[in-house]
Amino acid sequence: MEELAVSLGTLALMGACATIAGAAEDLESDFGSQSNANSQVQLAPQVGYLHRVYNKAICGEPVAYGLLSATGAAVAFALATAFAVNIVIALALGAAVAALMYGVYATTAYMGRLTGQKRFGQPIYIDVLLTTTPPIIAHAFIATMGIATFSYLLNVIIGQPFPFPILALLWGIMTGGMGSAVGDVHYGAERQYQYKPFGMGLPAAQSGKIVQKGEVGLRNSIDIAGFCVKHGGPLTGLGLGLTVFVDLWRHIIFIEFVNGWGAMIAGLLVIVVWVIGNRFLEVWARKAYGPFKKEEAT
Amino acid sequence: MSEVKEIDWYTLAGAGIIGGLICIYAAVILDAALGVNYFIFLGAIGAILATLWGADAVRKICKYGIGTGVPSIGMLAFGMGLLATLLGLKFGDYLVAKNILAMEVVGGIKAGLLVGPLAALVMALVQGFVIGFIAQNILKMKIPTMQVGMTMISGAASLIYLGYTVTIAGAFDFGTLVNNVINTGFIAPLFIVGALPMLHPFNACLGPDENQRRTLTLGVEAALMSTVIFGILSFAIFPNDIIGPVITVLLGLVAWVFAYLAYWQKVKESGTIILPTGLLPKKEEGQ
Repeated sequence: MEELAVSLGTLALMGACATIAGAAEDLESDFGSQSNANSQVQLAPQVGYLHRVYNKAICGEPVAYGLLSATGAAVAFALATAFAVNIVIALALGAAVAALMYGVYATTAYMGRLTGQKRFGQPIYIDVLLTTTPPIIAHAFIATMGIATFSYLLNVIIGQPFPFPILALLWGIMTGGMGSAVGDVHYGAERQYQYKPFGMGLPAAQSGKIVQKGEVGLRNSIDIAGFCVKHGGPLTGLGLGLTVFVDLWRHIIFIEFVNGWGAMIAGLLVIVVWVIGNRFLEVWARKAYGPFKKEEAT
Repeated sequence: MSEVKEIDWYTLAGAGIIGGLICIYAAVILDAALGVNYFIFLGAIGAILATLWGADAVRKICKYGIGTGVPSIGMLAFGMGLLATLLGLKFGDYLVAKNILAMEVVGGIKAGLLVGPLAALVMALVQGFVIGFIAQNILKMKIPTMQVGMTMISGAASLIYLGYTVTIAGAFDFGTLVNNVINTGFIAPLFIVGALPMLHPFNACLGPDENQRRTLTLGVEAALMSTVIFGILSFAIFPNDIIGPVITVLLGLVAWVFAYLAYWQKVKESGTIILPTGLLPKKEEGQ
């Protein structure tokens, strides 16, 4: 019983770390208009819409967060092993090293992408570089610290057998996927194409014609992150926190059955229920929010 | 502005393979001969040469307009390279276990073991060739550079793995790889921090005004950052003998500063408008 209480307590802590990490992850990607939003920011100068938005083309969020988390966790592990640094301090140092490296990647990507299309006249703004990179590093630090910490707890207390840098890589990729899937919905069309009705999608002719002016002055990446603090960040945090928390409940409760395979079987059942539920939701949404054009008779 | 001639990718492949292998072997042999770990940074230099080769191959493949596929190509390369590297190093291990090529070369290293990296490279090239063939002829991707490019990125990934393994663990035998790189979990950063310098340069610099020299400068810059990270990781493997890791981290940091400035210089030379701050430039009339 006591063991279960420790597990559940750890689980709560991990859920909290994941919530913070998820929120920071989404905001960090919004600072640099990463993943979905990136193609529009990249395209804008080509259709004559110059802008002051940061273009952080490092790679998709999943790979970027795999990079950050794996680096942070591995550096923390190395410092803790080699110099017997306290693990909390080691995790902070590891996250700092990873976030700084990531910041350098962000600056080279911004300069590189704009230089690669110089013929469209988009200038490199030094002040955009200097004011947006520090928040990117800061949010990346928080996210990396969160992910590395709960990976460590997963390995050491919950007893997952993989070494924790590998767990951090996997959870980092998952966090990035979460930010891309949950968070970007609240950025892409919402913030870059504000004069269109919600849910209308983006006609091809509108591609690249992003909003250039903000509430005050020109639209910049810090405005965008400020906007996403309302919905994108918290929802991503909630998504990741719930994933970690609820999924490990499944692990802890069902691990005792069928020689450890109980958790696997329960996971499979949950996925089947989810797929069926999603199908029902989709059919309902199509019926409720149509109309879709009937296929023309050929 | 006079156009600088692009370096042919076969030249870069030659430099990557020969330079990379020489550096990797030199690092291990010198360390074994002198009984020290000072030369592990040579492994990273080998990996940087291989990164240049790989980054140029990624550039050539992706120039056919797989805009969002650049990171995926890098990840694919590292997936291919990892399997081939493990198999190749296991082959060297097998030769030693079976006492084939059992003469000692230097410092207790057997000749059979030295076959490992070469076997890994050859296997990676073959695997890349097969996967390139599948992509080109069975999936019918119809990208002219795909076949050769896949072969090259797979080989480059394998050399990057080997180089950084030497930097982290100081050796390239299969046992060291399993104990010091895989069981510690360092394989995770090795996979992704090793891959980024290969895929990032073209991903960051793509566009109609992309330029090979600038892209490859960025590759060196990113690879030096990875060198620093792997130098830090090698502290965990050599906790009592930290001179080698310290040399790696310091050399990596100093060289990184120069590489970053060189990249910044290339950005400035490119003729892009660089403004300290300001409003958007006025559009020309009639556009």
